[in-house]
Amino acid sequence: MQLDDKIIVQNILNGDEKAFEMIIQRYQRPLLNYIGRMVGDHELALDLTQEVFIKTYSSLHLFQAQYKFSTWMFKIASNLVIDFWRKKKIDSFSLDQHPGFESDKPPIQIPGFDQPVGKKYELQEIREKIESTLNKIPPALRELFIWRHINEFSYEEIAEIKEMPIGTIKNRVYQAKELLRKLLKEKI
Amino acid sequence: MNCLSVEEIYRYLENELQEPKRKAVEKHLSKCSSCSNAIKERNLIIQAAESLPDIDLPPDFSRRVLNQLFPQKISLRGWLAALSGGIGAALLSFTAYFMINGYDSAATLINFYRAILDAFRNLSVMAAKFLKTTTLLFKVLVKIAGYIIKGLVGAANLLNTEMQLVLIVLTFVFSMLLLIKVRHLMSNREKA
Repeated sequence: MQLDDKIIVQNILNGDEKAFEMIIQRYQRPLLNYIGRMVGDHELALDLTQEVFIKTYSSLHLFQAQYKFSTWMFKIASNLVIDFWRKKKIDSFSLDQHPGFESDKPPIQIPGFDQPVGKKYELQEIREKIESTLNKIPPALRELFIWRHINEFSYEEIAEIKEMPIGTIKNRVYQAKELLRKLLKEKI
Repeated sequence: MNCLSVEEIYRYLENELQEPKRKAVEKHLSKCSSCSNAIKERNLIIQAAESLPDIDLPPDFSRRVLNQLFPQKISLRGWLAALSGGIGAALLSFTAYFMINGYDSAATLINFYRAILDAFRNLSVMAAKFLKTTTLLFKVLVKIAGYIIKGLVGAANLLNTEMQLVLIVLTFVFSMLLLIKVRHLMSNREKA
């Protein structure tokens, strides 16, 4: 049976430093899957993932048990990714500015008669196209899409990470999905 | 019912529509191929995204992070063993080299060893001098400490019994505080 994150954290704080290996084993893949798709560079993603673990370890004493450990860790990761974008001087993390999305409401749209993505492409091809298209989605939306559909977080968990209302998160995930769909259509 | 909005499509796909609304949507989908295709298309994209492969993770990644967090400390004994091993290997290599290259080389080797011996001899002379100076310094310090104690005893004789008692208690409290502070500093260092 897997040991609960909070028990592991308590063990580490009580002096069992090596228990942190369990945290690394548990979160290295989800973190890399998120960071890798946010920065688009494998080596950089590995460095940033390592930095997330180091930051997490050094601030473990600040972790409050009423929160979920995974969401707390992803909050650290998200802040690190935002810092990375800021250092690159790309103002792509402002949640208020997305071309084509002026409010939190997804655009009301009657489905058209254009050819559906799935008719022309099989699942594997769509996966490849998603990988190469994700970087065209503004980071603030991309982040939410990755958490929801790649890391498979619940909306509640995402809302906890971003400290935003669930409704806002849902609408932004819908926006991200619609934008991805449009971009995929452009590629076809 | 009218055709579905984007929000309704996603809410339907995520099972977020309440029962009467859900039934109405399903009824509409059975009649409207456009909405039905829109649902299928979006569902396919979500399926593809949710089955994206993991990004390659080096097998030693967790070890790398742990080494960064807890760098391996090499003990003094380890350093000494490595040093003596290195010196031994160097001497053996020199010996082998000169043995292969003949008598003249052997003479050079003897001179080399002599130089090392001289260096050791000089070092031992320096060590003896250092020891002598340290002993002298220690003797001086002992004498100074003796004078200080004598002075304190003389001063204590000038005080009455109550004052001496107060002085002893104060000294005790001060020593205890000092001890606690030292322990605190040591435990902080251990944690660091």
